[in-house]
Amino acid sequence: MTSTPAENLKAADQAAQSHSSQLGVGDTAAPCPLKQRHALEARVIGEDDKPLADIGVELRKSATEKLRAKTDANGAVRYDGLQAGGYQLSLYELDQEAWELVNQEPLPDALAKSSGDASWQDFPPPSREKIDHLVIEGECVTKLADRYGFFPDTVWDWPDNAQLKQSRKDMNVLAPEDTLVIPARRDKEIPAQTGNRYHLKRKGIPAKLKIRFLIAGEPRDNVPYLVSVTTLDAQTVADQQGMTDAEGFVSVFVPPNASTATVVLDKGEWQETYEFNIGYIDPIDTVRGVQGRLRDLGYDIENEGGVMDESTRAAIQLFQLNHKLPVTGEIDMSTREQLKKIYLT
Amino acid sequence: MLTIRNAQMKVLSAQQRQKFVDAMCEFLRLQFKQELEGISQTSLEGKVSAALNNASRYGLRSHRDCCRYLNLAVTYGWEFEQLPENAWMLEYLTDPNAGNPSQRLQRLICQCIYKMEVEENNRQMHEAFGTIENLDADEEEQYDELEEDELLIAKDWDKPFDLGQNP
Repeated sequence: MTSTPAENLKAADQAAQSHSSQLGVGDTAAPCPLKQRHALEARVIGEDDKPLADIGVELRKSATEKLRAKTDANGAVRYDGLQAGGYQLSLYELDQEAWELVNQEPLPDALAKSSGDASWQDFPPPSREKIDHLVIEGECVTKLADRYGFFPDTVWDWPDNAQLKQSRKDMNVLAPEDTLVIPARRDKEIPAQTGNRYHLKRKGIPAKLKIRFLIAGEPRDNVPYLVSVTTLDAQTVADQQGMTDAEGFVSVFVPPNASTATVVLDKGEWQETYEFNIGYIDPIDTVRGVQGRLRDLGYDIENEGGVMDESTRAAIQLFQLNHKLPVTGEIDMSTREQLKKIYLT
Repeated sequence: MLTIRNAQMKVLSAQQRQKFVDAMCEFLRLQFKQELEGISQTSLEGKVSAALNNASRYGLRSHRDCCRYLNLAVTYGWEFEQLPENAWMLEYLTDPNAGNPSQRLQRLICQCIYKMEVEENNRQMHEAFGTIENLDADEEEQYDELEEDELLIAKDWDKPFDLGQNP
C-alpha cells in the first residue's frame, strides 16, 4: 500500500528532527550544556474542545520583555530557553471574556528541559480602541466578534448595542448598514510557571450551525449527512458527517468566518445536495429577510432584491395557505410570526 | 598560539558548507527516493544549495531547521513559498508575531501536514458517501503511473531547455 503525501512528509520531518543537530550550519561552537534552560507550553482549544490554530499567545517576563507565538494546527505553542520561574501568559489579541484557563499539567521531563536563550522583545500593545463597525452583507455578531477578538455575547450585550439588540433580536441576523459597537478590548493575563503546559479555551468559537430538514412539514430524521464548509479566507476545513436528529436537524461546528455550507443529504439514489450562504439572511422585519426565509423553505422567489413583486406575493400566499393563515399575500404580523417560528430565526 | 586567518576561515567554512550540502542530499535521497530518482547529484546539490540560501533569509540556520525546510522544498517545489498559491506559507515563515524562525517553521510544517491529512480524509469521506467516484485498484494504478510520468517531465532538471535553436 502506498503512503499518503501527509505520511511521507511526516516521516521525513521526524527523520529531520532525530538525525540533525540544532547547531548552525558552519558553527563550530555548541551552547554550554551546563546552562540549564526550561520550557513552557500552551494549548488552545475551541468550544468543540478541538485545537484552534493561529491564536496569538504572549509570554511576558517584564513590561518590555515578551515572547509572542501563534498556535499551530494542533493548537500548540512552545517557549524554549526560559530561566526557571514565573511568567505571565495571555491570548493577547483577545478580550478578557473571550478566553479562560481550563487546566494545567506538568510537562514530561524530556519536554520540560530546554537549551539556548529565549529572545525577549518589546512588542507594542494591540489596539484597544472602541470601534463603530458598519455592517455589510454576510456579517453577523459571531463573525465580527471573532474578527475583533471578543466573545460574541460580550459584544451583543454591550450597553452601546442595546438598541440594535432590541430591533434585530438575533445576534446572527444583522442588516447591511447596521452599526455594531465593538468595545475597547480589555487585557487579561494568567500566571504561568516553566515546566508546565496550560490548556486554554477560546470561548464562542467555533460557532454551531444547525439546519433543519423537513419533508411535507415533517422532520427528516435519521438521515445520513455530509457537510463541507468554505471560509472567506479559503481555509482547509474538515468535512463532518453524521445523522439528522429526531427533529431533522443537521448540527455541526463551523469556523466563525464560514461563508458557505454544502450539505449532502442521504446516500445512493435519494442523495440531495443543498448549499447555504452563512450569515446572509436579513432580519425578518425586512422584505429581503422574508424573501430569503421563504426561498430557504422551498418557496419559489424569483428576485430577492427586497422588492414586493408578484413572485414574492405568490410565495407568501402559498405559505399562508400551507399554514392555515388568512391568505392576503401581504407580510402581516401573523405571517411574520409563523415564518419566524418555522425558520427558527 | 594558533592563528587562523580570514582566508583560512573562508575555506574552512566553504568546506563545511559543502559537507553539509552533501549530507542533506543524502538525507533527501533517503527520504524522497522516488521523487528524486531522475535528478543527478550535481543538479540536486545546486537545488539544495539554493534552497539553503532561501532558508537563511527566513532566519533558519540550524542543521535541523535547514533539513526540515528542505523536506518542504522537495514536497512542494524548490521555491515553494514564492508560488502564488503558497502565499500563506511565506506569511507563516515571515510573521513577526509567530515566534522565532524555528517556531515559525514548526507551525508551517504542522499546518502542511494538517492540510494534507484533512484533504485526504475529506476525499475518503466523499468517496464513502458516493459524491465522488471510488477509483478501483486498476484505475488507481493507471492514475499513479500517469502522475509519475508527469512528475518525471516536471522534474527532469538535468536536460537543457530546448529553445528550438539546436539542429
